[in-house]
Parts: sequence; structure tokens; C-alpha cells
Amino acid sequence: MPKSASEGNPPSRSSYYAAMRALALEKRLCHNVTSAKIDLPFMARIYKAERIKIDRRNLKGYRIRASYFCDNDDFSVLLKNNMPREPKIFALAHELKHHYADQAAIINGTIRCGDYNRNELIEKAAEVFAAEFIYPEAEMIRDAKQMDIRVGSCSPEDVVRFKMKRFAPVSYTFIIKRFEWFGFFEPRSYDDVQFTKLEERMYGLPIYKQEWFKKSRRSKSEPNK
Amino acid sequence: MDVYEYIGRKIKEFRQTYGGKGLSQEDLADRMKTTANTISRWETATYKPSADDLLRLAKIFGVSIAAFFPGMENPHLSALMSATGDLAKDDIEELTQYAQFRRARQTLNDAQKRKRR
Repeated sequence: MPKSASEGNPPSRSSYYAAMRALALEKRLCHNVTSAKIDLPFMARIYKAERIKIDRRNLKGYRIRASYFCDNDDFSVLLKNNMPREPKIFALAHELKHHYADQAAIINGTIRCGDYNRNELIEKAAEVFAAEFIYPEAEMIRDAKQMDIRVGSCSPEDVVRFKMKRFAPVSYTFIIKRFEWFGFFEPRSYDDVQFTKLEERMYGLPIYKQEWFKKSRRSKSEPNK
Repeated sequence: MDVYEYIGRKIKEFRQTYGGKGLSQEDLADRMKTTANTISRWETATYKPSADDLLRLAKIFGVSIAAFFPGMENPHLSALMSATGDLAKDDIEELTQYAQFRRARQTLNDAQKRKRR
């Protein structure tokens, strides 16, 4: 099991993140993961193989997306059910890092729940792990190049087109952060762009937002009206 | 006393004292979307409610799931999470409730394993 950042001498930030990226790639191989294949049922199968229960709840608070618990050989994740598919997948991948790398430290109380600042390194490393697990950087760069997206030549429309190719189940936030990191555009340059609205202008409204669909759902849920 | 007998007694106690007037088994069954027969059998420990059943019962009675178990203290939060920052009081409350649910599920699993042996 990889060492948690809270055990022994703290590793340097970059070496710890690199180790978590490597761990993510190793676990992808282990579970036969390909980015396009990842969805919620696929994540559920990985969790089952790892003997982690997923307990879905509609949580009132907006801060918790998921939470990993372990003791007495019992592993489970509390997952916020009332959020969209992509952040759910990301949160499940995030919690997998805690399962692989932080179990011992959680059980012996070295790291504690709720203290976000104190656990910042561990939490950020889990974000790094999750991102690499869902969509490895090398794969994303290759896909972007295929679409002719390069450093300094990426418009908001390119971002939408990239998302619509569905290489991996990732959100606009994910794509923007990665593209900034790759240097495709300057950080924060598209902060004012509403990508979902832009997508609707380019590709039309998704089915679930169309009036006929909403109407048919309403009539199914209230058959007597 | 068997853990399911204890749970049965607590269900009956909470049902009979609910809102000062009490609830009939039929009323509770309606709220639980089950039958009065099931409620009756939970109370006599003939049927075994799951941790999810107890969670729903706890919500109806306005108690913590820990109330159905003898001496279930506040569980330690052995957890890490993806959160957007430091947690508010409500978030901690939800995590504590979930930790109690986990402890309840473990206790029921252990009780069933003991019975099978």
C-alpha cells in the first residue's frame, strides 16, 4: 500500500502528486479502465471489486460531495446523490485514492475528518489521482492534438467541441483546468464564458431540457392529471 | 438480550410514545410503505429490520439510529472526504449520522454472523 502523506517525513508536494498519478495509472491497468468506458455503473463495479460499499444520500449541505469511511475491515463511501453525473464519478475516483493510499492513517487517527486545511495535501493529491484515473493527461493531450487544439489556439467553441466528443466523462471545469495546465490558453481567460449555454447554442437543447420531453415526464409521473 | 429483541422493544416504545399520543402499527406501516404485519414482526423480533429500515424509522421518530442499539456511543469519524472547504456544523451532523448508520449496519451484520455460527 502506498504511504500516505501523513506518515513519516512529508514528501515534497510534487513528488507526492507524481506518485499519486503513477498510482492512478497502475489502478487503471489493474481494473482494465479505459476513459470512454467510465460511467457510474463501471465505477460501482470497481467499488464492488474493492469491497467498498456506496451509500447514496441526498445531502443538504453543499460542501460534502463524498466521504470515505473505514474501520474494522469495513469500507464505505457516503456519496452525495443530488449532484450531476460527472462530479459524482469524480468524487468516487477521489475517494478511491483515500482507499488505496490513506487507509492506515485514517484508522490510526493521524488524519482527521473535516479539517480541510490540515489535510490539504492529501485532498489535493486525491484530486490529482482522480483526474489521472478518469482521464490521463497524456491521453487528453493526444485527443486534443487530434482535434487540432494546441498551445495558444483554443477557443471556447473548441472546448465545447472537445467535450461533445465524449472522450471521458468529465465536466467543463475539468477540461478548462487541464487546458490551462497544458497552456492551451491563459489561466482565467474564459472565466466569463458560460459553456453550457454555448453548447446549447452550438448543438441545441439536450433532450431532457426540451419541452416535449419535460411534458412527457410530467404526464408519466402524474398519470391522472 | 438479543440485539433484534432490543431493537423490537425500542420500535414499539417509540411508536407508542410518538407525539404524545402514539402511532398504530397501521399508521407506522403507511409511513414506512410496508405492512402492519411487518411492523408487528419487527417488534417481536420475528423479522429482522435492515440498517436502512432503521434509518427510515429513526427519521420518522425524530431520533438517531443509535437509539435502537444498546450503548452505541458517538462513533469516531474515521473518514476523509471530497469537500469544498472546511465543514459547517450541518455537514458534520450529516457525517455523524452516517457514521452511526455504518455502526448500526456493522452491529446487525455481526449479530447475523453470530446467529449463523
